[in-house]
Amino acid sequence: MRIAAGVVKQLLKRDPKTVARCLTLIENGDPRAKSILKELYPRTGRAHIVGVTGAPGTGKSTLISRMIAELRRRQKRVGVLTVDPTGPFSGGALLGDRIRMREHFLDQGVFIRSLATRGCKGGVASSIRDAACLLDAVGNEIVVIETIGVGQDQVEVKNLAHTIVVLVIPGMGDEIQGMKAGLLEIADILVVNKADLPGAEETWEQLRGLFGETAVPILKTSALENVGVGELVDTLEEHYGKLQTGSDRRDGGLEFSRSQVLSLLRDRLLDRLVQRIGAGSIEAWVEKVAERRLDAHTAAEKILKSAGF
Amino acid sequence: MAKKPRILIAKIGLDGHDRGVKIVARALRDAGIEVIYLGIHNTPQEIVSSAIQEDVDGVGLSVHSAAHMTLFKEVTRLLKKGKATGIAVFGGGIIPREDSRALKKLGVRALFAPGAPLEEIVEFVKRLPLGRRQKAKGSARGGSASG
Repeated sequence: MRIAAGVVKQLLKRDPKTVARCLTLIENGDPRAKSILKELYPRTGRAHIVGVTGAPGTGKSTLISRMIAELRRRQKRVGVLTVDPTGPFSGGALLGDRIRMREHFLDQGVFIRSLATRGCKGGVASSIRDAACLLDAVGNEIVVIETIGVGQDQVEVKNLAHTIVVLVIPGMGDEIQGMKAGLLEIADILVVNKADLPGAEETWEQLRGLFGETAVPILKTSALENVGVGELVDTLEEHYGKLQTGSDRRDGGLEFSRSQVLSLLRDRLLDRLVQRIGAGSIEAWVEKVAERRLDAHTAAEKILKSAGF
Repeated sequence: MAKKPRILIAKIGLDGHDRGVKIVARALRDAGIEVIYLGIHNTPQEIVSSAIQEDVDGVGLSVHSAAHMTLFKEVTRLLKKGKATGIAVFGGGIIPREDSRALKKLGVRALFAPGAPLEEIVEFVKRLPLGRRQKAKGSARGGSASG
């Protein structure tokens, strides 16, 4: 698929309309997006990609807005991809993160895009990696990915960003909650947001008890009162700086690329498989499983066999 | 992944009456549309800049402040300036019939008065052309449901 050379030129000029248009192509899985990304790939890898995650209502969008302000003071161009869930029944979505970032709407150095999960289960959108690539390629020094409000186990963002910030707020449970595997484990930086609320100190102490011996910094912020944001941005930069040196960089890069290639491979393999044997043939096996005539494991095996694997 | 309608819904100007606009936003959501909800007190510049970055198919604005003539005019002007006239502008609120006619001449596609059925708004949005958005040349045909 050919793309107009003009598109790439406009992209590199950060023309907001072209960037926006390309993000739509990426979201819709349009074949033109692939050629654009291929063209741009050599220009990627320069942005610091930061994932911000946490439960619903922990203040992710508001804190990100404060972070943007601080990053702008440091002359960084910022791209933001913010994800909200697609409804499981209607397929619609209410994307309500941008509303918290109003002070940056007119800043040419900030590009904010809201994405719906569109069926992706890991707390992000399936197109998020390519979208981040695009924002990287067009010259944003920082790309922030905001996940949906996550539960204990939606940790997909871990494979998408250099630095993961996990937000917690006071009153979300005792120490046992913090001992569980999952979300807190993926943090490169732990943040107790809403530190203006009562109980913030206790939450911070608990986290320190749990993670004090690890290298994970534990910070306190109040997005509402704009407290602790400078320190958070310092810590982000420090973390990225460490990744840039020595074996960490190589390992991180490998891991990042591995997960990208494997995830694409998974999608494409399934597509090819469906192409080869037809969606109807899979459906026939599904019916057998639904009628309890066959278990799902055996069905999957049989399908693979019929496709010649 | 199929194309989905993306619509920006907001209040514009100094006007906090947001009950209606929230109901509309949720009705669109339930109709399978991706709604970027921008809340109250937006300026025309903020609306247009957001609409462009979000690459929406339409912008729905609610106005109860009587400043609709000025505000809609400014939004359509800025969209034209940004060469984004493919983004359909529609709205609702307290807008007298004469003004409604004048606004449609400016390129506002539809205005829904109080009492307009949600189905009508949903239908209007679903009929918006997708994907032409920002490069479509300024076709500002009026003539959709208004109350």
